[in-house]
Amino acid sequence: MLAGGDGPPGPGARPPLSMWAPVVAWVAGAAILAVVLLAVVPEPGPLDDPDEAAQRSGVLLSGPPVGDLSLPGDPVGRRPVVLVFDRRLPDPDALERFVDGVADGALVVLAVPEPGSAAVPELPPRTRLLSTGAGRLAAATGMPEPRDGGFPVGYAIVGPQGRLRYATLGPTYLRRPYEIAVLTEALR
Amino acid sequence: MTAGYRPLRPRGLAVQAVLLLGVEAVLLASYLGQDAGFHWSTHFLVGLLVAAVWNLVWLLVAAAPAPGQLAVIVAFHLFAMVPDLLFRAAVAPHEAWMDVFLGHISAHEIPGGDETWLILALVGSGVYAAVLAAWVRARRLEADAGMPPGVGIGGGGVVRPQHDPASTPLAHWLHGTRLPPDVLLLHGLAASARVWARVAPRLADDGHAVLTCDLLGFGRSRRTGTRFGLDDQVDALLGLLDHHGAPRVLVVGHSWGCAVAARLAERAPARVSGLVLVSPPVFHDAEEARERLRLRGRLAAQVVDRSPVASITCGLMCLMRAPLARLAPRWAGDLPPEVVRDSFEHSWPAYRDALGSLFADNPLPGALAHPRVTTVVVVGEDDTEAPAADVLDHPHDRVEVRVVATDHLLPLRRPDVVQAAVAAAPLLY
Repeated sequence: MLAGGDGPPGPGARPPLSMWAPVVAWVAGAAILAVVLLAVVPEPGPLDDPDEAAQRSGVLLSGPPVGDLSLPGDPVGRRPVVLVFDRRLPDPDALERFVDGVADGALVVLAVPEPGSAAVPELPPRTRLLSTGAGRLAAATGMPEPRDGGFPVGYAIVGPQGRLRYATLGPTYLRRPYEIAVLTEALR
Repeated sequence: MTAGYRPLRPRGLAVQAVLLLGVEAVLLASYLGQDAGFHWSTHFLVGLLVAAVWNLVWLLVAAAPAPGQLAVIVAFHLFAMVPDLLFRAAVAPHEAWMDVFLGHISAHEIPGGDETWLILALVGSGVYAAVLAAWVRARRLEADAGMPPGVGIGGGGVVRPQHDPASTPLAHWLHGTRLPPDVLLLHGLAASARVWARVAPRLADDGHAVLTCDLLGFGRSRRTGTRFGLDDQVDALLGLLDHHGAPRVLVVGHSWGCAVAARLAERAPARVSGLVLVSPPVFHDAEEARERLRLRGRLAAQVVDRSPVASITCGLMCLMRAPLARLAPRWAGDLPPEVVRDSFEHSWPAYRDALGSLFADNPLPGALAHPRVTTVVVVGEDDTEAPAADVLDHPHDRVEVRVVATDHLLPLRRPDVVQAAVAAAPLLY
């Protein structure tokens, strides 16, 4: 801590700044901040959560049991299940990269409202497609409604104990499988 | 450059500004790449607010700007985003306890979201900018008056310039009906002229013209002066005597005021007709003085050791002066409330320099061993702060020493004894 006596101040010693300098610096800083916040940081999009704080919070929940969910493939309760909600089937390559990035051992279930039976591509390993009831699943897992009011795009995570541990909107989820990996890894 | 001005050096600030803009640009780009611009803005605004509060509190407590004026914004922002770094490094997801990082988890939940944080950050930093501008203005006005800067002077001295003791006399009071004054009463450490409230009227009744004053940095002279060594006090006292046309006075000092009185007699013996030293703190040497002053309490020990804790504690007390002054009389037993209240009316540099003068610059041993003027000493046999034995064990052949049954607050407990000592001292006109 600086004390007054740290250096013997001489008579007439002046501060090296004008008294206006702090005020000018504050005005300049506020202007830069305004430009950054208004022009650089993007506004939420139509697929984002109206409550920005709720989107990708990174905090695991201690949610309700979801054991009665009817899912294709392995039943809930043995390993983490990642429920991916989207309005259309993702690009196969992007989906494969995404599934590869998710932690080993997790089951990925795609819930798409209208997948289109003729266009279903081959799915990566550990991936299932929920062909019907995507809306009911979204409601059952408490997926938030996006700003445009449509079907949610994001994901939910059900823990090995069969409880809902995470549910978030995330329109660009395919680019960040590591997020899901960190969350599912913490559930082991 | 004066240490207190170092954090405001333009070159240092420019480097920090470049650092701030560069680091924040990288962080913003990183967050935007993760579609998380919202999180960058929240934690940056929180970091900016905390940095403003940090700088403001430092300025108010230390009465000097904090180091790293702008760099601290980056530091607090980085601290606030530690959970994001842990997440990105696949160490751990967010958890509730991570609120220790400047509310990392719940900061997003504030009503109004980032708009609220923006307002808070702008208000906080704006208040700090205004206070810092006032601090710079005060120091520049002091410099314009040819004074050393009042770096470290807290309370109102943070935003207002100190008065120049060369042009502003010490706060003072005259007792008696005639002029010029022939008796000057000097208070002790962390005290004021009110310590003489029971003595001055008695001396006036005896026909003296009594002058009491608050020394530089104390009582109602708290805002006068920026240096508080014994010679600075003597300069101010000589100015006060000139102000009243007093050619010569009997100087009565209490405790540390005895050191001021002795220095006055040393420097201007022609202006001092005699000394009455009440409870003088006399030490054989500087090391003994340090040891003894350390025993006065934890805070005194910190001051003697020039510990930063002392300046922080005193800075905090400075901020709390009003409530402390209001509450303290309730804990002070039989002492007059106004005397207790005035014990908080001083600046930290004044207290520090006054205490320091007792071990670094104490003229009292010399004044007792080789008095330049007629000297009478009055000590209390129950005084633990300035024990009678210290005076009696010290060479004092040409000094009359009176020991009475009381403690250190002799002017309050036994004003009659002080009155008698003054009556006994020869007044030479």
